[in-house]
Amino acid sequence: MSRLAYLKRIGLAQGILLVLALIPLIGVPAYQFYVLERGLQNVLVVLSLVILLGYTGQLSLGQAGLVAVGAYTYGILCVNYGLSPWLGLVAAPLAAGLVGVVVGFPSFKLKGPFLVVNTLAFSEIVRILILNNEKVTGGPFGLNRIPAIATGLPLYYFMLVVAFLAAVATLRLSRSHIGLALKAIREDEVAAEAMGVHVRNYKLLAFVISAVLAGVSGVFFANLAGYLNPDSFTINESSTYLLMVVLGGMDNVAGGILSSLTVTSLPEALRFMARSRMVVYSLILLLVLRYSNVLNLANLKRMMRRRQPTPDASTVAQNKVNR
Amino acid sequence: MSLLTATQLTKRFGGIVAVNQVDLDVGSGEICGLIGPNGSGKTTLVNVITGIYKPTAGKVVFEGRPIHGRTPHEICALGIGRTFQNIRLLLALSVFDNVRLGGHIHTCSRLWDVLLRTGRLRREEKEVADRIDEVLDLTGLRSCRDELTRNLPYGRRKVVEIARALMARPKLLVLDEPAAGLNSSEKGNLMTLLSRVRDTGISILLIEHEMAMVEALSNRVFVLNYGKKISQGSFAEIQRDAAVVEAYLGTGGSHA
Repeated sequence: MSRLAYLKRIGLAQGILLVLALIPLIGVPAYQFYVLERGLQNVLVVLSLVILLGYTGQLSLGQAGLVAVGAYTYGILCVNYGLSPWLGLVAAPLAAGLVGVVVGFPSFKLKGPFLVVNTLAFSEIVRILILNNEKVTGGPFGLNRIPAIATGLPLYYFMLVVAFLAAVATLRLSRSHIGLALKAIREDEVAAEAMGVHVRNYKLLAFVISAVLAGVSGVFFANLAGYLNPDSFTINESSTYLLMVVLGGMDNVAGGILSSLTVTSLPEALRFMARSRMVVYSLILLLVLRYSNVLNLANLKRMMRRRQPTPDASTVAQNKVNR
Repeated sequence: MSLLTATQLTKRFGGIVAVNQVDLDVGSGEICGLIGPNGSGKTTLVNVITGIYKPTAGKVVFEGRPIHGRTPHEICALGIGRTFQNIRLLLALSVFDNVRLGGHIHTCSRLWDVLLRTGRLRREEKEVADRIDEVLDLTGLRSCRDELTRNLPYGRRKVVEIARALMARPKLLVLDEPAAGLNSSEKGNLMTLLSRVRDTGISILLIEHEMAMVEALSNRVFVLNYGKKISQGSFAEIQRDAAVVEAYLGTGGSHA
């Protein structure tokens, strides 16, 4: 296999993550490295939204709630019950997945804004539960001294491997018949149902997969911070996740990875601006959204494909006329 | 024995009786026409048969099994495929993917097969791709296989819907006005396609306003008006039926 063909097979999404594997080699200052790690942690949430929103068309503003479920399950099991962090890593996404079933249930009947409000309410309920069950969660004082799976570089590479696997899984899902069924639900539920897609089951599947990914992200958050506080899981976080997935092109894995890394690091990169920082940050986001069709990787790919000669030129010409 | 039998099928929306005690049957290898003026309940009847609506009363039996009250995906899996009057395609996806969706009920790979890309999945994907090409050849869509459905002209889109329904290997194909909006050459192609589909042993229930097509293809025709079946028989028979003429042309009342 030629090198180019091999690179093509790896794909853009995995390529970006491979580049990330090389970054520690050039030596990054501790704080910048931490931001990078947070970006990597956010990649998992963005992938969860690529599946839920990008493929299935179910808009959720409750992802922060699911991240919280993952993070706190890990934290509580490890701190209060002395469970090994590795078992916590398995248990927390499972718990998040179960909660995902609950979040997914209303989607059978609710669409659009009604579903959004529902997921938003879920996330707030989780936050308030955490805030008020002080004995278990530490309430507003937070959960301290959470043991980590690993620290420093090993943790970074472990997260990278998990993100890599999650990206591969998402891409495989996308091109499979399951991904097609999810996209059919996004495009036209009635048509999907009439073509034999069990719409309820597939919606639930999307919510559960999405919740599991968010749960894993929560575990990584607990590992990185070593401390959990309900303030880290607000609507603010949920809307940032949404921003990331929209900037990435909704159903674009590579775009999602890139945008979660940039959106995470942008406010930190702008820190030298002091007071005008958030203004510039918002302005950049607005501009990117406005010109996202130029930046959108999916569009870029499509434009490049169009340059190549197609096997049947007459149909293309015919379609141009009809367009 | 007939493939599909509907007995005393009724669908009410509040005070409106959209389908009123209709009896209908489609035999194996048969093309049955379903005609009637606009608003006579043809589409509602089809939606009840395919499970989009639950019937208020009456029975639908398919291959000896009652199917009324079942969900659309169950009915699809039992072997009734359909197209929609107001085309329902996945416009953001390619023709290939649209047709692939039709094969959904025959896929048996699970989530694990997909995530691990097992041999079973690869074998199945290969089979599905071959079958799609077969269907695209049959329907004459091979040349726009990888086009986005959004970029296809109206006539082509209607054919993609039929291809998608065929992909599910149905025993009965329900077509809701497949010729509406087609030009005359497209209509000709459609008629050839439908008779070829029938020759493969698939029965067709055809809703159509294009009478030349109904006449050329149908073994039998059912006529609805105001939700009631007013006539049935061969095309020649219903053509002579006074009730049908009245439904389409009105009574020749004297204008004094």
